[in-house]
Amino acid sequence: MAYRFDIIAYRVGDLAEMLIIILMWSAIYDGNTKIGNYTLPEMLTYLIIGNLVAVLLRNFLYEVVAKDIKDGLLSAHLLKPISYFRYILVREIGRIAMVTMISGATQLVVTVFFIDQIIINNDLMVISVIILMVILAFVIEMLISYLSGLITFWQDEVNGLNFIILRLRKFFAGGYFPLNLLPPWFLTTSFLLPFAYSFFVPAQIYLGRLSIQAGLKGILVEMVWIVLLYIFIKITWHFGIKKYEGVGI
Amino acid sequence: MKKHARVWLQLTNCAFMSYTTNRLDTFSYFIGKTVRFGFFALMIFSIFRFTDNISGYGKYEALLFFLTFNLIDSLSQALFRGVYVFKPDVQRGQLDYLLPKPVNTLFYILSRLTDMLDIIFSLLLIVLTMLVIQRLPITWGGVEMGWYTVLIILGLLIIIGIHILTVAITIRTEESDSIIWLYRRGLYLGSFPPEIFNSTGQFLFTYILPIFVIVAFPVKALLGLLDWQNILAALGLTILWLGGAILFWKSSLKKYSSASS
Repeated sequence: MAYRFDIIAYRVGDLAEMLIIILMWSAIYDGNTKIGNYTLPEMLTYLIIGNLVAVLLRNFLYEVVAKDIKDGLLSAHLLKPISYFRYILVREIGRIAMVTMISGATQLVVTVFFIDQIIINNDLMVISVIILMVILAFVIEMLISYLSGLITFWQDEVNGLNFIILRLRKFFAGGYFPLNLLPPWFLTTSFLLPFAYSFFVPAQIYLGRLSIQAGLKGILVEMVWIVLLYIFIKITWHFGIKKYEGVGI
Repeated sequence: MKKHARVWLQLTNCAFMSYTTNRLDTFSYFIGKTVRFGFFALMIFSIFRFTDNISGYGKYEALLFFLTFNLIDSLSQALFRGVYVFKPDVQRGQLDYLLPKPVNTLFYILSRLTDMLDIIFSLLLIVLTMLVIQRLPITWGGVEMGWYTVLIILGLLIIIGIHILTVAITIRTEESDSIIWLYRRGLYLGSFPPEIFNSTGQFLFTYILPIFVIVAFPVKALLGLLDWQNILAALGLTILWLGGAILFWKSSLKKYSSASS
């Protein structure tokens, strides 16, 4: 809480961004009852629920890992009797916990503001599947972020690469607009990638446009991705640590 | 003036060299910008598959808002990227080394990190904007195009004012990152026609926070939808923001205590 102004300003920014998107879609719907098979309440619900999930999944692990490798700080961690991977994951969760809670609360404020315009789904089974999906999506996001940071073993600066990954991630997650506004083959491709489960799929399950069975299939896809990413990380670490020189100590 | 131009060229040269030392990273950033721009453009095209207007504006008019917003955003980032690296100067007392330089400190802070990627991206945006203008009933070289250019320049001057305010606030609070990102997110409002907001919202973002003056006014002038009263208001707001920001900067300098040097 040392930089309170920063925290408040970023939350105001989050709120403003959300409100702009809602206003834009409300204007688009002026004179149209449906766009791409979505009514206005469905679209607003999609955006609000999707953004709430996206905010909960945010992390900056790649920056931490990249800095540790670039500045040679990794050397100190290698000497400790604890896995760097586990240490850094747990540390990042602690580091972002406060910011995530505040961001989540901000998104809830938006939800409450538009409560009479969004669709409420209190089916316990649906909520449980979404929660499980979000937890697995969080793990996937952390693993992808960690993997991006490990690229610093070969490339000093990874901010540019992460910039691309973040943009692609948001697009394939349906963060710009619902993926089913695009051609069907695109949607099929998105379901094979892990990103759709961090925004689009939870929102679709909440809206009842995807069944619980589809949600469970999605959870299975997420688990496969977690295993794959873990293997990629192990391989990358194996080769990367041989390149590591501890420059910057 | 000549002195400042020489300094700017030298600083730009240094910035260019720093970009070329990390070619892959620089290239990745450029691709990332292009990808993000492409997705937003795709969103607009996708929306217009299902509707024929947004608040009364057709597809190419909506694209014009979007492209103009991107052009102004890109130009301001290209020219004034230096403000993003100002916070450490205050925290570590490095501003002490900037103040005695025989060049305007504000000029140096704002222009020391010219972003070549955004300059290249801006050129691309200018070409795309011209292609979109060709699809609209607008006369090349007409009065509307003149006003479009003038209002973009006024918009950039307001943005300079906002950047100066950010720098001044950083001196007082040492917290600047959030302010500049607040401005960037606020500017995003201008990528859509202002009519998506109600009259209160339009008033707020025109006369209090002049986001629509920066982005929407040039487009409306180009489309022949802006009256002379609003053009005068744009000029007045530019003078107010720029002048007010410079005064606030001068007052903030008096608060600078160089605590870390």
